[in-house]
Amino acid sequence: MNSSWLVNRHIIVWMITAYFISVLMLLDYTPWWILPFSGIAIGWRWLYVVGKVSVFNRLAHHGLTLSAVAMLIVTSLNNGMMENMVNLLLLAYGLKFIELRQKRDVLVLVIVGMITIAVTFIYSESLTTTLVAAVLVVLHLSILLSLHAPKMRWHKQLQLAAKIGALSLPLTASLFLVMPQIGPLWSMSVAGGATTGLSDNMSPGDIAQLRSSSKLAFSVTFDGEPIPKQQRYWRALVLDKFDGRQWQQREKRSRWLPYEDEVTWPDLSNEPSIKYRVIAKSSNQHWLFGLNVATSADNNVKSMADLTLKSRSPLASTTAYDVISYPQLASKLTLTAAQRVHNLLVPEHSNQQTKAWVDTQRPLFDSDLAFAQSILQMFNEKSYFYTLEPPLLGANSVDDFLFSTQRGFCSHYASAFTLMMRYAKIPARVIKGYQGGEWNEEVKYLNVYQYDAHAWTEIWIDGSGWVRIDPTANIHPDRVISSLDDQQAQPFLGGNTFSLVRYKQNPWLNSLRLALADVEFYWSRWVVEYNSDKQMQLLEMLLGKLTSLKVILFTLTLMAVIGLMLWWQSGFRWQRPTTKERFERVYAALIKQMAIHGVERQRHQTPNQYCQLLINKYPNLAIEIQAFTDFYNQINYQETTTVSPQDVKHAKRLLMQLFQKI
Amino acid sequence: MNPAVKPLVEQIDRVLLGKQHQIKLSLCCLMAGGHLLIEDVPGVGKTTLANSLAHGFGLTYQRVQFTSDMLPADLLGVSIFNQDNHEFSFHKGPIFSQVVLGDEINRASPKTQSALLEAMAEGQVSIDGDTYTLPQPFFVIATQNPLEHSGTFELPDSQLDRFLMRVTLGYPSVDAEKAMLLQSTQTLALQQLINGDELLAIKQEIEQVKVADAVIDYILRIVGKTRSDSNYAHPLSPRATRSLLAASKSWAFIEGRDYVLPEDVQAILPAVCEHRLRGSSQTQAQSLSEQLLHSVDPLG
Repeated sequence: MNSSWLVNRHIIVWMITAYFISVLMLLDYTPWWILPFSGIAIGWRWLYVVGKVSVFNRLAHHGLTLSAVAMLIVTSLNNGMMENMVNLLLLAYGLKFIELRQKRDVLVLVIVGMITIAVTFIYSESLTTTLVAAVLVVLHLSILLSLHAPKMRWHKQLQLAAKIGALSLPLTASLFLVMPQIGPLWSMSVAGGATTGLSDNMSPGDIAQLRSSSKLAFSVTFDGEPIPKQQRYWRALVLDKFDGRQWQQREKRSRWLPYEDEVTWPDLSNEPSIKYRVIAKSSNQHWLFGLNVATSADNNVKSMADLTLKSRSPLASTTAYDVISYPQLASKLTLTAAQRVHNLLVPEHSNQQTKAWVDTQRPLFDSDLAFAQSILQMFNEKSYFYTLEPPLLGANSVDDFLFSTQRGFCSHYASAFTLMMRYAKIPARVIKGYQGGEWNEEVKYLNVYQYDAHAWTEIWIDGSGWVRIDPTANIHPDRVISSLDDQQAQPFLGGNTFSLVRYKQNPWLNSLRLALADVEFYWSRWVVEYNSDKQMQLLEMLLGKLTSLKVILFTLTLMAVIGLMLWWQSGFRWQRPTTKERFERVYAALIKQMAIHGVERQRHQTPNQYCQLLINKYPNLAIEIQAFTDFYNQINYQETTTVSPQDVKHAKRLLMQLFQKI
Repeated sequence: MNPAVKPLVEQIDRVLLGKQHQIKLSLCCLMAGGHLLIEDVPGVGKTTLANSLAHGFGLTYQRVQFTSDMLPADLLGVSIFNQDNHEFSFHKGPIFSQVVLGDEINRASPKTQSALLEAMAEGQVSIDGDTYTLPQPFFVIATQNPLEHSGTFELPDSQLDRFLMRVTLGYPSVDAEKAMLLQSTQTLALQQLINGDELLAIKQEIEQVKVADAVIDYILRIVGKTRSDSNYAHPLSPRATRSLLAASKSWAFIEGRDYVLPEDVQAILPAVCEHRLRGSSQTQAQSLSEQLLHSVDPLG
């Protein structure tokens, strides 16, 4: 074995550390069985380095590799392409520890490590990931350094590696800022199409997609106590236009203008209220989330007549806004005639079976509310099933659902229930949003994930205003059919490895955590969400109107500047002269000037000898030459202190006097 | 010139005419605490110089004439059986004095030459298992004939390195020789001008002489040159480097300065380095130290 790079044991420690940090970062996406394989490889490597074991048995080596491959193939059937590739990478990375025979192998290990760092960014772009990745890069650079400079002390290697890493930062930053962002060359199956959250319409089946996404939709922090779980209906969209199959938002003027003329706000001063702050993840959509009845004083947030909140611009990045909700305000609002008409509209010539059924049922009850209750009871008692994989529905979706399939999830129930209400002349609308959320007791915040997406109904009851009715909640628990998708939607935060949450009792650490949250917020805002639009804005701000020539010139100039910086740092440069060197230069100037006048200094001549030579040539300058030489001798040989800038100045003055006389 | 040294130089100059530079070099060597080798053909005044140096310092002085049949015991001393008390008693040889003038040292056999070695390096003598300390200060002033002259044994390199300086006198100029002939043949009385305490004070003063980095760098460049250039068969040793510095400081003191100039280094360089660079081989005609001096820039 070529053990030249093994002289320093710390290189192995660094490799192992780098591996485990990488695995830790990908832990949530790594199957457990990779750990034993790499554990064996790394454990053996360590024992080998400390001299406890001999060379890895060839048979064992092949056996380990083959069984790892077999495991990979077996598990690959259940995984997507991406997961399999990541597993392969981590497995190969771990098993490579057996094969560290030559320098070349260490290079391979480092390259695989670097690729692993890049892979972690597929899963997370958070600040923590970035910082850990930076540490890993420094570690890998140190491994390379100790390969080429094995005699250097380990902390010097780390220092130098960190310096090299820091040197690449300007290049990284400017590439990030101005290099044209190319769209992804291939798409990942990691993130499905549902990451942008709710869509602005609802047809049977589309919420099921969301329910399989465990992405964070938004987080909420309450000023006071959190509201109970049953009350957590986060309204996002009101869909009040039905075409027989799909629910949509009413088109009134521009969709994002508030219907200011349609709502009259009563006096809010004495209303009980809930104050909270919502931190919404980017969705590239306009809608925001709030509890009924939500209002916001934020500039960028509009209150709509349907009592939802909308952002003035699509949420391109993580955005926070403050909300005040008035839970009891609903009953004090009025329903205009126009609104009533809107919320009673039913499509003609569709779902006639439902209409007929409602027409026969409605007269049996003396109030709207009682009728609504009877339908909920029907869902509860009749054979209605909750499933995320319902059968497909035909053109008359509500008829099909109510009378034949009887299987569906929230959007089916909400859709059917709302239509039935409308047929019964009760103003009703579908609400899309999120229900529930995961309350974090330690840090006091609520995380609402995409799998909390929900749809329900609001009906207008005179005297009570808009009343929320969740028909899905009335299905008998025995008839809830859980699906594969539902199991996959695991709570997310519980698995978070790098969480300061558990140290919340410590005020110092808690404030640190809050500060980190802020940094993370800015990170999301300025780095993660930096897209080509923002890039263009930045370039326009810098260059004015953009032409391709300007952009090319700017990029080239920037590259040239960075190149110069790196060149400067690399040591091929003029060092800033020390005062001593500047002092020497004054004397060198004399020699040069005199050489022009024909007095050549011999190489071995001391200042005094040279001075004599000059005096012989210029007897009239004897005083000046002597003065200059004496001063030079005094500074250079007599004084033990370092040369001061004043000395340099004085020497220059003496030299000038000398030159003037020539 | 330093007023403390000037009378010495003048006194010796009266005896050895026209050799002021060599006189100063010799003084410089002794003041720096080093041993001195005077080399030249017979009859140019080697012994005169050595003699007058010893007298001027007022130190105890022994002269040993080295011959080819001389034994170490002749130099160091012998233990003689005393009949009266039935014991061996040690009779100190001529080396037990502050200044030892080894005349024509290269006439002695290498065995005897090397007896000088321990004395010069350690300032002590070991005979019959007993170690005797030599009086301080201890100087060896040796003279030798050039090797071409018959009946000589070349000094080993190790011993050459122990001499701080080697001074060659050369023939006097016509004027000096004329003055010598005109001088009365009566030997001039040499006075003691410096006593032991004064010499000690001088040595301390020399120790205080400032050496700027520029000078040290110059010395290092000189030494480095001999090591990197293949022209120099015997590169300078670190002992030579130290000797260069010590001699430079001493020279600066003689010149009446309390700091060293490159001139000081240049002045002592041939005397300090020539015998070291050349080694025992005396074949090359051109002075190696001159060559070295001209190839190194004092300014860096």
